[in-house]
Amino acid sequence: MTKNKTSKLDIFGLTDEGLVRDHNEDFISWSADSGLVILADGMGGHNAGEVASELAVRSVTDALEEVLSPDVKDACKMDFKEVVHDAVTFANDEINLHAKTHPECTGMGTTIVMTLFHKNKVIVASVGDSRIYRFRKGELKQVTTDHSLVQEMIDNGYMSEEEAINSSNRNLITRALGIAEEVDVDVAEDKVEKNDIYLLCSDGLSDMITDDIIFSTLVKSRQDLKRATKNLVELAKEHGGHDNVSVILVACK
Amino acid sequence: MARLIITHQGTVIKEYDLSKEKVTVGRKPSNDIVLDDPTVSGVHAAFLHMQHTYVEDMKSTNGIKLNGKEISKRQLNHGDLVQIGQHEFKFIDDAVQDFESTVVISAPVKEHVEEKKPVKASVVITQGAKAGESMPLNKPYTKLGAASQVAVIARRGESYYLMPMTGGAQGDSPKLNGKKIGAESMLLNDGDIIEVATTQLKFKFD
Repeated sequence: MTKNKTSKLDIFGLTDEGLVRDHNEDFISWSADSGLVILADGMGGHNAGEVASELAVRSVTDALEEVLSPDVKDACKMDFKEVVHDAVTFANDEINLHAKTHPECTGMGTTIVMTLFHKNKVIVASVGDSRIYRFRKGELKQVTTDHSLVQEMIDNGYMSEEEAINSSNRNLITRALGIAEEVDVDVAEDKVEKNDIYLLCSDGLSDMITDDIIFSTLVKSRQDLKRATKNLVELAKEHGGHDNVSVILVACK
Repeated sequence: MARLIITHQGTVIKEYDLSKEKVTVGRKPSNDIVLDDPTVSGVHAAFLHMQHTYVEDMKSTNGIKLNGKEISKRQLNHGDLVQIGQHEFKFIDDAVQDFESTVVISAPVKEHVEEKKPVKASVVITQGAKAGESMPLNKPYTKLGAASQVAVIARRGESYYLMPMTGGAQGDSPKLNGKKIGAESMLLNDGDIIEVATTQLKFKFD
């Protein structure tokens, strides 16, 4: 047994078509045992979007399955940031390969956000405009950066955050899995504190409701993860529900 | 409304609203969209915007590509990517956009480069009842051994590495070519012998 044991996790997630789309291209997965939590938001016509998002989640899970088995996780001196990076790169390869061998899937792609909890740390990774937030000590912070045109324009000073909310370019993303041989993956590490809550979501949540609403929902109902998750999905639908909505909440005990 | 998002090497340089019937693209200043790009002809291409939008090659030297394929004239659909010289034009048709379905911009066009053949390797058991049995190393990480002692082989690009281990239940590390594994990842070479949990395996490229 290791001294600094992995934080005990309580996890709940939901994915919903929303009110406008007739199918769900998001795919979510989590395991409280391994600490692996993944959310992908697919795109591409003829149902290829859900092929891409499911393949991304399955490939990452597959890639990490053996290193996350308890005997290896504790015995192997690995850099988990590197491990997560390799797993997302592998998912990109798998999606490219699938698109090559299935012409109906040409042009499919997907975002991905994921967390891997290990000992007292969490590794977060992201490609695209899905998001991870951290709720800690009454403060909500987005820990990933959107890989979107709007974010680029904000960063370069062309647009204010307020203007961005109403921009017609919100749906244009600058990075995704499955669109090129190489992919640039953001990977970061954070120390986990007791009572932290991590929120993973697709843009179906973050485009529909503001960070303030997410914050107040967590403040109100974070003691009951299921209810908090349901509330967030319902709020996204009440505010339009234009896209598929996916939310996963991870509470660190 | 329909518009073009123009990128160069992944960076968005301009957004152009298609508000007139014919929009020309080229290196000469007389074009509607002027590209400072040596691979672009004087008048290289035109976008024709009527009930539908079309792109046409104006007999340019280097031609144009639609979604990676050379074309002379085609109707455009929402999300199409037109390559003109070193510039890319993403066609956005707001009328078609079904509630902002996500579109990737600045994705490099997949060139018809020579197919990268994935390198493949496997490990083969060399002794005992299971001698000759082989295990493909087709994932980023593959676990060898049993509960008492494990080793992990990592695939990174075209190379394979044995990962450093602290040792299993017996506190003893697996061996590579007779030597205990230390704190460093070890690059595997064809024919290397790995010993883990009393099993001996040979690493080989297929």
